[in-house]
Amino acid sequence: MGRFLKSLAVLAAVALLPFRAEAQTRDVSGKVTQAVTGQPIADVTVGIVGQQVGTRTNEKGEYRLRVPMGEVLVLARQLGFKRQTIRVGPAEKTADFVLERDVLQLEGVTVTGAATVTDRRVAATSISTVSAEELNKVPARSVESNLAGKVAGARMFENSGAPGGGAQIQIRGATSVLGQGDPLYVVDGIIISNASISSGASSVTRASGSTGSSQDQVVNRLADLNPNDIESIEVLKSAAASAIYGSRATNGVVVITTKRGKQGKATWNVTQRVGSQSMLKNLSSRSFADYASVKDWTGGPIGDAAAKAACNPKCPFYDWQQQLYGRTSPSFETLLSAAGGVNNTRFFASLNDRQESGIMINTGARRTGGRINLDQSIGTKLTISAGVDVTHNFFQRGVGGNDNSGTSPIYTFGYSPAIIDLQAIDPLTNRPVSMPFNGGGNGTSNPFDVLNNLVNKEDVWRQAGNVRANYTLVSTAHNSVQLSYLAGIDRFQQEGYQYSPNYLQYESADNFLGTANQVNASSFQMNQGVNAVWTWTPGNKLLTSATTSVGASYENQTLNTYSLRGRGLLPTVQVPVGATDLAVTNGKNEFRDQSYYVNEQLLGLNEKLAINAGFRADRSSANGDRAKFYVFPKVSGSYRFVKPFTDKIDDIKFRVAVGQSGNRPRYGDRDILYANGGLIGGQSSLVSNGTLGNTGIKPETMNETEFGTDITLFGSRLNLELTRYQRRISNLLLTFPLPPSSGLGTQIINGGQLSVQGNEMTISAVPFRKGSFEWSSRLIYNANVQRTDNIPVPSFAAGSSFGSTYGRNRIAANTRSTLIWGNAPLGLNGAVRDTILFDSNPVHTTTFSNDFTWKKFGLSFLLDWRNGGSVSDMTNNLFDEGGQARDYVAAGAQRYATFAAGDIRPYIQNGTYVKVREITLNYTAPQSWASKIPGASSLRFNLSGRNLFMFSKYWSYDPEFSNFGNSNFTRFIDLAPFPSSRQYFFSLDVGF
Amino acid sequence: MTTTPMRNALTVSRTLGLALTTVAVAACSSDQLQITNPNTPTVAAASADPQALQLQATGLLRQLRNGRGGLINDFGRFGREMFIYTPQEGRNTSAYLQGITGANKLDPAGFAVGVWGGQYGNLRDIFNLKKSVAASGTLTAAQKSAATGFAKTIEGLELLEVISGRDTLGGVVEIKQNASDIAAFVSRDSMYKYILGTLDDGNTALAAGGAAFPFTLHAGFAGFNTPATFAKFNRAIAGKAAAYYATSGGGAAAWQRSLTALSASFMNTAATSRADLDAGPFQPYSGTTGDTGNPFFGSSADLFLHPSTETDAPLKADGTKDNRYLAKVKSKTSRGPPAGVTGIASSLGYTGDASISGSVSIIRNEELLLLRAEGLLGTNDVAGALAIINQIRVNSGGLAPSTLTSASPAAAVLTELLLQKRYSLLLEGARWVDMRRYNLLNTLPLDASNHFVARVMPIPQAECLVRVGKDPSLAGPGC
Repeated sequence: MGRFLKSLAVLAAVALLPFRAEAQTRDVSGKVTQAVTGQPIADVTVGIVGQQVGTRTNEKGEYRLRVPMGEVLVLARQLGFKRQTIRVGPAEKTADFVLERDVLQLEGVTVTGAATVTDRRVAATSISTVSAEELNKVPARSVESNLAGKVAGARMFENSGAPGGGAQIQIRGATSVLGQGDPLYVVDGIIISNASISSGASSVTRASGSTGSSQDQVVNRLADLNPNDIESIEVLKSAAASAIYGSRATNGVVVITTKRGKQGKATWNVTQRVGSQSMLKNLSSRSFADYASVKDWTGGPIGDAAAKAACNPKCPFYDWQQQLYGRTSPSFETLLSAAGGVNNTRFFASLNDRQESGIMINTGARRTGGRINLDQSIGTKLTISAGVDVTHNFFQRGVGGNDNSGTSPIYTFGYSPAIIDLQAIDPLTNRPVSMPFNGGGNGTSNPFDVLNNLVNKEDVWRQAGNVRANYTLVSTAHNSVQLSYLAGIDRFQQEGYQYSPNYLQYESADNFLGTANQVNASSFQMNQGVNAVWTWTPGNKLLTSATTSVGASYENQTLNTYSLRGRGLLPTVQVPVGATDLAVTNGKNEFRDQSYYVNEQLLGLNEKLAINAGFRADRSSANGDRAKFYVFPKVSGSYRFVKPFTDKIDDIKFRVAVGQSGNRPRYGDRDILYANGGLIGGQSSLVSNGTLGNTGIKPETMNETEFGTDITLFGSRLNLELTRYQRRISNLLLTFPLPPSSGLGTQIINGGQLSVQGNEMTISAVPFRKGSFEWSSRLIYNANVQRTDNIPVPSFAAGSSFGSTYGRNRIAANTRSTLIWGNAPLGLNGAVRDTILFDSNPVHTTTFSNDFTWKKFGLSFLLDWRNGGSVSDMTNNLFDEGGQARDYVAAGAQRYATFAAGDIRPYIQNGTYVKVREITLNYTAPQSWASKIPGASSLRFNLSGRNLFMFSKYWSYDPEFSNFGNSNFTRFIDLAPFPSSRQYFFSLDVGF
Repeated sequence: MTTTPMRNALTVSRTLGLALTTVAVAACSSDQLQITNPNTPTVAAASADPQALQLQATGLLRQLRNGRGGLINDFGRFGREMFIYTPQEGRNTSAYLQGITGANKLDPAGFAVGVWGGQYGNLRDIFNLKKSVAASGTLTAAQKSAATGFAKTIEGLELLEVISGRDTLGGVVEIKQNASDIAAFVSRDSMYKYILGTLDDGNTALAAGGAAFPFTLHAGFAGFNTPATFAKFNRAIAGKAAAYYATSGGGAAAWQRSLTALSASFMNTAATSRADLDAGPFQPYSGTTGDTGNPFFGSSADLFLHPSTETDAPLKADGTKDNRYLAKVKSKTSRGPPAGVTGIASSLGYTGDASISGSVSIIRNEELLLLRAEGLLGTNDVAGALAIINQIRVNSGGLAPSTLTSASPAAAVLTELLLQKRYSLLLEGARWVDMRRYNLLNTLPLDASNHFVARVMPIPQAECLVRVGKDPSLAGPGC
């Protein structure tokens, strides 16, 4: 530890010394233009090869750069264009650049540390970068959906079709059983929260708990991010790449960079979108011929009477799903952005308002926010950048998912024959009629009544800000030293609220009429760090550059959640005060982490060999030993063959990366605690905590080896990236089951090992290009095998589930951890036993995207194919159990009979699908059209659709869905979800 | 370059350098990472608190209450006293009445595996309380004795609940300091001997416990809140345990032991009024935040009594139903079993579910009298047993005295006694255990061809899994 302090102190001392700029310098100037069109390109970075700094072109494409005397290599680059290097002789004063478009995205840089980057073409790890254009082709609920199918090695699935978000990204398989399973999200250097906090729907659905559970169609907070503000997203997958984030990095790191101002006069952009949505799939339900055929399914005397009245003699059929989920009200999105830069100041500002209508009546989401990013140069050595972002996110997601109160619509539909009009108004109450079926009492409800009168909403205010100071301490021909300081915060306040009026049919079931529930979560995250980067560019063939960086960071995250539920409300009162029964929850948690790192990055042998090595040392308040540093090392290397064998092969790169990253323990795992026993007779009590903490708990550790090759062919017309990885995660956080007769349940331990082995392939190509017509295409293939190698505990069911009756993953030694275990009569003499039945892991996921441009038209589409991966279709089970499945007579009765005999296999169904994720058609109007709008310089029209088609044999709505939201394992339980929807948009985009 | 920017740059570099150093030093100290958990106390911090003993003692009573609510719901369903017809959760019914397919219908990983973890959870806290009392430097010898007697009484009661659910499967009586060490399974006989021994030790300790406990008991123990009066509760539990032991291999000696213990308990043989019959400690419930509501109240929508409760109810002289039936049973909207579960509909509700703050008896005089009647019958005092049966029939049920005489066959008297127990102790966890004790489980009604009557509750799978591959003495017959 002392070593770090000393090195920092030395650096700091160096900073105080008066450095003198090198006396012998000269200026080089020139212009940067685009190939073919000859148009000037603004904001191109121009600098000396190997150095991290440079200057930028103005709006006329002009630049002026100070360089040392003698010959220098000057490089011009910008994202979206292929770089160009020019050798500037000692006497030359100008250098003009002509840049070609980079269709396959072979250029760009990739993050190698808190303050360092390296060129993508020499990167030694598999890189996945998604540009703004690619990301935002078709609008989506949240950025995960924008990313779906665009990153090799990352799988994105939506948890339900409810408006506003709620999706999971899993990078290279599950790396933890109990620990954090989501990637780390970093926006402009600031670690942001992606917490999934229930807004309290369970207070009404009683899915689990009294005031909230993971089964509440929870929105993860990435939904607050405006995808339109994003310039690029880079996904760090391997441990060698993510080790720079130390003990929070086993699940990968998603590095998001927002847009910044460009040199030149301010440009304004206004986009208006209007869209609609419709149910992707209607499950339909059974229709009945007459009273005799329906009488066994009415669920009691009340339903029987209703059936008798409805069927005279033929029973009508009502398409309840279409009525409830057929809402096509318009969705809107307005985007306003401005960017520019004059003198030493650059700015980017945006405002956005997105209103999404849900397909279910009375549902929707609205995100409103703004962002300002500023970059200010002070003198030639200091740059200060700052950004702020404020977002309001509001959700009305209706009711869906698991339910124990008779409120979840799909649940109700599964048990009720669709022979009456549920939208009919009861003249006595002036509300939709009460549900006569499924008992007809307070164990069920009419969804139209519920959705019209139940309030269930979530309100989030989010603020984030960051500031970064870069100081060039030394800048000579062969050396540069950069110091930087970065600090930022991410804060949100999430408010959930439910109000269930006392008159609703199900309200009397718990003996209390009326429920009001308030849930509040406030989260604050802060991180700050200092970095020093020394780049030495000897400029010889052996060593192009050597970049040494050191730094330190401090992170802090706090979360305070509380809820208040009242049951038995005073008349018309909509808050819990005065209620007969009150329940309160409150919990605070806090993490504090410190880290140090050292990193060395070498580029040599004519920029063909790249080596990157370093380590990060972390300690955290979450660990048993808070003073101990855990060290995460990494080393990676790559070698490029430029135009080997033949000119047809542009470039072949081989790369190998080995690294280690960690996943810190959960809050409180280290504490040996008493539990609050609750009150009895007015006295409070202490009892033993069922879970025994562990004072020696430490982070989970992942060791990963990745190797691969990147091949560019035919003058950058075809690019092939192949990657294979092997990751082993040890010191898993596990709960060691104590004998129940010991009086305690479990103890937290470290132990065991998971492994993931996988292959990723990306093929990018420009198959055809002629005149203004261009077709570019990309295929991404992912496959992995996830195993439990060993565990020091008996095998156990992983994740939240409904037990062996509906299937779940089990963590068992020497077994694939994604296998679905459940009941089937496969024991001795046909005895029912809990055994391995299917695999929830897809054989592969493959996406195929194509872009066509012709003159002013552009057309793109993205196909997403998931091959295999079984799903527990509990929605189908509901419809069969209630006798309402559309195919009940033909197949459902048999499915259910098999299930009732203890065989769950009819409901573990193949989750294969092919989805048309995105289609978009663009038209850029001629200048003459644009100029009809005062001040406008460009005009674009766009038609796009998301999830337009799904081809799947899956019985229920969508095999992507998860009743338990984001989870590491058992993410395949589909139960009465909010159905998935198609979304269509028309956009008009005007530039000023 | 002019000198001015140079000087500015110098100033900036100094400022930045200082800032970097400050941040580095502040972020460097590991003191920064020492944060305390604000949500729940650590064991170390709580034990040092002066209120610790009171909080622990209340914890014992709180857990005792949790365990008993679950027991009544489980035993009530096995004993065909009640159903929990949850429309959305068939397993609340099927796990108790249908079981799983195969010869052994008990699902060790299913729903009906209660009356185990909760009871042992309390045993862990009893173990901790006994240990901290013994180590205490502030309690007097009498206070230590009183606290120990209190703990041992609760221990005996918890283990009696366990063995009355598992019977011949036996159970575990030892709590190990290190929770990952596995304690041996012992037989039913050893369980009862341990329970009776522990209750006797507790009684002795209470006798030496002075005038007061070093903590206060909740209002449910009004009248039983000093060591001397708590001992009467201890003897009541001992009387019940010995009676259960008598029909589980203990024989005549155990009947005698039961009768002796009952006479030292709070049993009132002269009871005639409802208040007299109901006397005894009880579990209070409330809707107060942090407290728990009455367990029947919470499940009242789904709680139905078995229809045989109505058809089997004795009739008073005027032809109307037994007073106990009238007091405990109400009619409600009929409901059948949940979809996918076989069974019969019921329109009978339980009046005990009406209030969130309705209390539930732990053991009361009426049960003690009936246990005494069992003891008298078991020791061949048929006349004595009949006298109590009639005392209950008349005073509790409003019925005419039984037509049985001391000359009647013992089996007939037993049948009558069990009928009285059924209605006197409806939903008090007695019927299923009594039917088993007297080998009458086959007389319980089966409502559908695929129903069964469980003899015992299964040992939870988690208990068996930790014993796999261990020394055979650690595995019981239930694993």
